Amino acid sequence: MTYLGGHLLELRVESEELKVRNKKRLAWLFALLGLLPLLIFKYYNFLGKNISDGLAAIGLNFSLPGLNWAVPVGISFFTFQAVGYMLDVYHGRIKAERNITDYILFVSFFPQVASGPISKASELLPQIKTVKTFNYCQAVIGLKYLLWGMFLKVALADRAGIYVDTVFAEYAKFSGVGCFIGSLLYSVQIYADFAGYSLMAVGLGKTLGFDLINNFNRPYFSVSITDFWRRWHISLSRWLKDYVYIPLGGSRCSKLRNYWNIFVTFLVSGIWHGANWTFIVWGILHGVAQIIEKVFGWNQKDYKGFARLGRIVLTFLIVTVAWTIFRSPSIGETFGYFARYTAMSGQLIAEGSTLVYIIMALIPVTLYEVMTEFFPILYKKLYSKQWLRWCAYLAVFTMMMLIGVFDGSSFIYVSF
Amino acid sequence: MAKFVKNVLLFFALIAVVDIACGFGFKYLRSHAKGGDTLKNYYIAEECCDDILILGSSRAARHYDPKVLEDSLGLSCYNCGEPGCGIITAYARYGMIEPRHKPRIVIYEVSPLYDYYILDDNSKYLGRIRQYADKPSVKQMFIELEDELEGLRLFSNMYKNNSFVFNSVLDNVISDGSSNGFKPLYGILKTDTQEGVRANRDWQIDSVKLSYMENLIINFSKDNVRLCFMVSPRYISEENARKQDSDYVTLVGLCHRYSVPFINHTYMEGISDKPELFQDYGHMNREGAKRYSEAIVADLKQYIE
Repeated sequence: MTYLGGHLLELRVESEELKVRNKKRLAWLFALLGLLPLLIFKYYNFLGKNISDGLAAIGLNFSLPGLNWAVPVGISFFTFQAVGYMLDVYHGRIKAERNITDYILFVSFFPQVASGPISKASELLPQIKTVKTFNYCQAVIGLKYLLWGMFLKVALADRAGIYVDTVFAEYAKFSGVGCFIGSLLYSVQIYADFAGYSLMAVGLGKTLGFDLINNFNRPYFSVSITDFWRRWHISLSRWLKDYVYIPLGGSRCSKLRNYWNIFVTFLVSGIWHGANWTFIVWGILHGVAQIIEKVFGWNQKDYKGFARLGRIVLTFLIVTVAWTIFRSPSIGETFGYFARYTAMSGQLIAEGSTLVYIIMALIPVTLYEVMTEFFPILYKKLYSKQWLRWCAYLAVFTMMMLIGVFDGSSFIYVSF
Repeated sequence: MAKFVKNVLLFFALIAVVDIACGFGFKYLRSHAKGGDTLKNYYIAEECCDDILILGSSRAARHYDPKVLEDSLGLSCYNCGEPGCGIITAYARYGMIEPRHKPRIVIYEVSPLYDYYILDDNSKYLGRIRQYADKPSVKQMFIELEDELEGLRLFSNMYKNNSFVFNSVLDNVISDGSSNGFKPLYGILKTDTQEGVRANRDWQIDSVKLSYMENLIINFSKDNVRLCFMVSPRYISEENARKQDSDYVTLVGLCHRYSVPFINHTYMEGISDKPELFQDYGHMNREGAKRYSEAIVADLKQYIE
C-alpha cells in the first residue's frame, strides 16, 4: 500500500494534475491505509473493550466480537518505516522507489524488522542498491556491537527481567524499598533489552555492510526529559518529530500551540507502544514533563558539576517512575504498586543471587557508559591499546557465558 | 577478509582456552565446597554411598531429618531432596549415584506437581545439575529434554557452569555444617494467611514426568533397592486431606503395578493439626520435621527387616 501510495503521490507531483489539497488528501488516505493493519492488529480489541465498558457504564450491553489473531512481530516498526517512506515521497524529500524487491527489503530488512531502529528510506534504500564489498573496519565494529548488544541482552536485561518479574508479580509482599529496587531494575532491564537489540541490529547491519541509525546515546545520563528523548529510541523520536511534531507546527508557532504539539506527539508515542492505558499515561507523563521543562527553561540550561549530577538523578527518577507505569499490566496495578512505595514492612530483596549477577553485569556497563560520557579522552586512550581491547572482548564474552540467561526469552520491544 | 577471519578464529581460540580454564576452576570450587548446594550437588554426584536416600522436592528436603533416621535406624542417610524440583532432578541424581553405589532404601516424597503433573518446561529442572552434564546419564537427559543442540552446548565448560559463579564461590567461603542435605525451615505458620491456590486447579498428567517416574521404579527394582513413596504432613484437616487423595491416584496405580509401598501422611494426627510445627501450609519447620522423622521410623523399620 505504501509502495503504491508513493508512486501515486509522485505521479501527482510530477504531473501537477491535482492541487495541493488533493495531494494532501491522497497522502492521508494512503497513510491511513498503511497504518490500518497496525490499528486493527493492535488496537481493535482495546477499542472494543473500552467501548463495551463505556456503554456498560450507561447500562447498554454491547460488545464487538474479539479478534484472537497473532500480532505480527515488529508491526509497529515496519509500519512506521513504510509510512515514513511514503510521507517522505509526499513531501518531495525522496523519489518513489521503482524496484519493488528493493522496497520490500527496505521495509523488512531482517536485522531491524522486529524492533527497529526505524530507518529512513533516504538512508537505507541507497545502501540496498549499492553493491557491497567487504570492509574490514566496518565488519570488526559490527562484531563489537553484536557482542556488546548480546551482553546487554543476555547478561543484564534477562537477568534483571527475572528479578523484575518476581517483584511486579507479587509486589504486595515487598517493602517500599523492595518495590523501588524493582522499579530501578526495570529501568535497567528495558534499557539493556532494547539497546541490546538495537546494537545487535546495527552490528549485524555493519557486518553486512549497512549503516543503521544508532538508537541510543547513554539515555540515563540525560539532564532533562527533553534530553532523554534525544538519547532514547532516537529513531522513533526522529520519526515522531518529522511526521507528527513538525506537521503539527513544531516550535514555529505560539507557545501554547507548541506545548500542545509536544503533548500530542508524546500521546502518539504512548499509543504507538501498545493498546493499554498504561502506555498512554506513560506517553502523557513524558509529554507533560517536557512541557514543564520548556515553561521553566530547564531544557535549555547547560548543567555542570553537582547540578548536572542532580539533574541526571532527577531525570532518571522521573523516567523510572514512568517506566513503572509502562511495566504495570493496568492503571489499577500501577496505583497498587506505587502505594507499596510507602510500605515499611515486607521483603526487601527478591532473589539474592540474581541481584548479585545483575550487579556483576552492571559493573562493565556502567564503567563503559561513564567513560564514554564523562571521560571520552581517557576512553580513547584505553581503546587504542589493542591488548586491552582484546582482554575486554574476552571478559565480556566470558561473563556473558557465565552469568547470562539462556532461556530464549524474547525482546520487550518485539511486542510493540 | 583473511585478516578478519584470522582474528575471529583467534578470538574463539582464546575463548576455548578460557573455557578450559573455567572448567578446571569450577571443578576445584565444586570439590572444595564447604557448604550449600555446591557441596550437596558434589556429594550426590561424586561421593554419596549412604544406606538411605531421600528424594523429592522441597517437602523432601525440609521434612526428613537424616540425623534422626540415622540415629533410630543405625543406617547412614542422605537427603537428596531439592526445593522446586521433582522426578526429573531425582532421576538425574539417582543416575549419578547408581553406577557407584546402590542404597538399601529410598524414600521418595511425592509432590504431584513436580512428579507427574504438567507445571513448567521440564528442562527447567535440569538447571541445578548442569554442572554434572558430563556424566553420561545426565547428558542423555539434557538431550532428551532440551534439544539435539544441547549436547553440543554442553561441551562448553562456561555454559555448563552458567549461573553457578556466585554460589560456587560463596559455598567455598561459608560452611553450613554437616546437615546431610537436610534443609530445615524456621518460623511458625501464621494461620491468618491464605493457602496457595495451586491445589484447586485441574491439573493434567505430564507423560514425560510419568515415564521418568516409571523408569525410576524399574531401575530401583533392577538394583534391588527398596523404594517407598511417602507423602509427609500438611497443615490440613483430615477431611480436606481426604479430598487431596485424588491427586495420588496416578501414582497409586504405578505402585500397585510394581508392588511399591505408598504411605500417605498428608493428615497425621499430632502434627497436621499443630500450626506451631509448620512454617507454611505445605512445609513443616525444623521441629515438625524432627517429629515427623521420628514418627516414620516404625514404617521404615518394616521395610528394612
